[in-house]
Amino acid sequence: MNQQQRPPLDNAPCNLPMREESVVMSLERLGCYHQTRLSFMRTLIRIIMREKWVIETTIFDLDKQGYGTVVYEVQAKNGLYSFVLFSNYLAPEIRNDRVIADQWDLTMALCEGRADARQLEQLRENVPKQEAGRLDSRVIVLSRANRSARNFDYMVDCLASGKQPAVDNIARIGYLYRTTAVYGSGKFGMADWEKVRQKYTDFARPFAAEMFTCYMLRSFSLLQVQHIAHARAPKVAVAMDVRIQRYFGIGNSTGLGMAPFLINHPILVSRWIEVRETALARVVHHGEVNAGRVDQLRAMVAKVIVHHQEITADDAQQAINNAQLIEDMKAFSRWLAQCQYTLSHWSVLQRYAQQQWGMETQEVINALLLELYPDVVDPLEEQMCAQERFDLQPDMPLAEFKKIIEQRYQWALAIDFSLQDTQQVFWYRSEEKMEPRLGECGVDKGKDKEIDLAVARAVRECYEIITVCMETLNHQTLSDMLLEYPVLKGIARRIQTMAQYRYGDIQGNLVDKNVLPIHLLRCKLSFFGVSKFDPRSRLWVRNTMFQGAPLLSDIGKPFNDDWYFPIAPTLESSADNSQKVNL
Amino acid sequence: MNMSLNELTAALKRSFEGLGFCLGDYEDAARMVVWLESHGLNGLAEVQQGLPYLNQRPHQYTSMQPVTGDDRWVSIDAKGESVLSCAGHAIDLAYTQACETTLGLVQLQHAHNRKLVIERLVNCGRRDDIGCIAFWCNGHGAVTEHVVNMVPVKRDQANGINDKQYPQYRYYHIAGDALKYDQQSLYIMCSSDIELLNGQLKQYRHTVIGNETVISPQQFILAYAQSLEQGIMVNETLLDNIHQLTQRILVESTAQSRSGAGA
Repeated sequence: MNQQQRPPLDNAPCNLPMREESVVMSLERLGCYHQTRLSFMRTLIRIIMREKWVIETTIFDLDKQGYGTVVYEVQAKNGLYSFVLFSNYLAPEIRNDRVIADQWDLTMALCEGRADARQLEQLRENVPKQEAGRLDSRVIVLSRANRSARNFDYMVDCLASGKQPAVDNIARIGYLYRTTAVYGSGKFGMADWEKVRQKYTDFARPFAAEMFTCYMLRSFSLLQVQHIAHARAPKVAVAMDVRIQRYFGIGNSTGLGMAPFLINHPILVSRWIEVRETALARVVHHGEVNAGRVDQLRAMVAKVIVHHQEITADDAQQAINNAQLIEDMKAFSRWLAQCQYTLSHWSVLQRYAQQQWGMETQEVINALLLELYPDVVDPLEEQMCAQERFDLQPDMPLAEFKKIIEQRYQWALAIDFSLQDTQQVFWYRSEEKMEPRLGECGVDKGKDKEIDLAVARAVRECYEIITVCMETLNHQTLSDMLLEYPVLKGIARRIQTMAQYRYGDIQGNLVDKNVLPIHLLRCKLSFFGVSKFDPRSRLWVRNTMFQGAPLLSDIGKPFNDDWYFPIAPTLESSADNSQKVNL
Repeated sequence: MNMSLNELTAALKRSFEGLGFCLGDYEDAARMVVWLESHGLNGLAEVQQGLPYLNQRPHQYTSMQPVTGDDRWVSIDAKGESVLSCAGHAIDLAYTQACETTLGLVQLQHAHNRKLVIERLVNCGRRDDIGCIAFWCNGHGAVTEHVVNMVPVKRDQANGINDKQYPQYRYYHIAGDALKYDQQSLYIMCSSDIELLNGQLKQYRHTVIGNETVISPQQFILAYAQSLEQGIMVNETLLDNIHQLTQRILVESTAQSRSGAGA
């Protein structure tokens, strides 16, 4: 089946021009993506609000310091779930966000149904152990989080002394906890993704259950900090202003573990990109442009500017990028003002942005354009699933196979692998929790145990052998070649399979000396819907989840779905201190 | 220990990678085992039986070009390997032949763990409108013949099995004194002409003399649903084997290596 034969997305216009794969799938651009209204957190919150999920604490057993057990019951549209959380004391000196840690401030699990006493004991025994524990197939997600100690203590101090915390502090660190791992998809005995998809249909979208777990963690963190403040000073403590609560998210540290996922799930990644690009194509080519829309877009741009002005990025390059983005956004706003009544088509804006501004700005603009047309974008939210299966077509003539490589993998063939730098690094699994790591040839051990992530190099090798097979061995079909070179089966079927997908493989050399894995992380995180990227090196990145999202107490109230690019709330000082704790 | 299908598949992939299987093969091998186990056919016992042998002979990749063949069957010599590493290639060859000449007939000689071929046959059967059959026999004295028959999906819609294909698997005792084919081989047939395929099978099948077991597509579906719901129990010995093989692909952790994770 060639690309033209591939079925389009449901309800997708067939003839809309979409951005080229060479543009969309470049590693550098992947590293510039931002959340959109199709990001998983946005979709999740829309569904929770639309379906009015009922989420209540059924067990609240915390001591004055906030340690103990809390269970929430979640009545979603199609099922009942329990979110079980254990809070334990953790000495500051052993608090570690790396995957190799073995103790955490909070550990938690999302389970099917109502957790009875027996299951609760099983969870209490195993959940705090995380990777070292065992769970059963009633458990959907396992996660843990570490306290942002300075922020947490400051918040407790403020609330316990009857004051609201300074919003500036939250702008700097917009969370009380950082989650350091969120496991699903059958790990440690939990429910398989296929079971989740079939049986727990409230979470039958990629990473929906994992995102929900983080959302519940955020809810708990707000509950806990107020509980501790109240326990410390029952007569003085105040509840946190709900506007401040909404401005709290959950911190996240993401490292190299995400990179192999993206390379090993190219069909899923291609699907996500295609859904988003379909939405963009719908908007750009069919979205009606008028002065009102332009006004709306300018208001969004103003919000993006403030959002980025409020970010404190420790990473120097990210700080430069943010500053540049702010300048670009100001220029964009001026441009919009100039052509408010003359702009007739969003493609004009898209072309202008490509000429004037960098990738980061272009992708923010694309994200904002999607916000203007929820009616044409949101129906695509249910199309993010894809089955990851590589199928070999062994009867394919070698000449046709070679042509596919030349057409779809030109980017890989353009890499000169005779240059040392193009193969200077390698990926391997450490014996420490099988953590993926990046090694340097000639410096680090493990080259002989390299993980197969160098797709470009494998394509190149395959291409060269095809030539030999055709010219020297007179092989006619792919099957002939694979009998001679069985080791090529994996890359051959990947090439054939990905040729059937519009966006195909990520276009980058992951073993190049200068590879920036954070581009991969950023891509996936943008689909999750995080904000405030702050790379800590080229290998891991901090970010914030759910900042600005509605609170549990907002469910059932009017919802505008406008919590993207959140900005600090402005509080009236006189009213803030009057809210007594009512937990 | 109870494991999910995904967790078991991932663990087995790493094990087969540790055994020297390459990209593509270690994934297929893991799927072959988990498919059999999750559909109620004891894939784990099969692999546990084969692991010591696989472990003694780290996998070496060599050409699998056909060695001999009469005018009907193309023969590939598996050289004593498990079907885990070579059955897929044999099926692909049969499929290619079927595309070119209507009927593909491939004999895989000297292959072990032949029951594990079923998943690859199912995978092949998902292609277009092709039918695939595998058969073999084993045992001494009381010989058992095994036949796995895939029906093209379009022809089985009446049974409501539209999105997946499942085989019919039957095995039974036969008289072992006059076998029609090599007892050490796995035979694979592919064709889009199902009548032709079944006609070919008749030429090779032996007379059932007893203990016939037939596992229908519906039984496979039920077994899989149960595995998905409850997970799969894996014994400690196999877990130890998996763990030891996985160690082969892991790299010692040092302060230097931790810097490669951003520490």
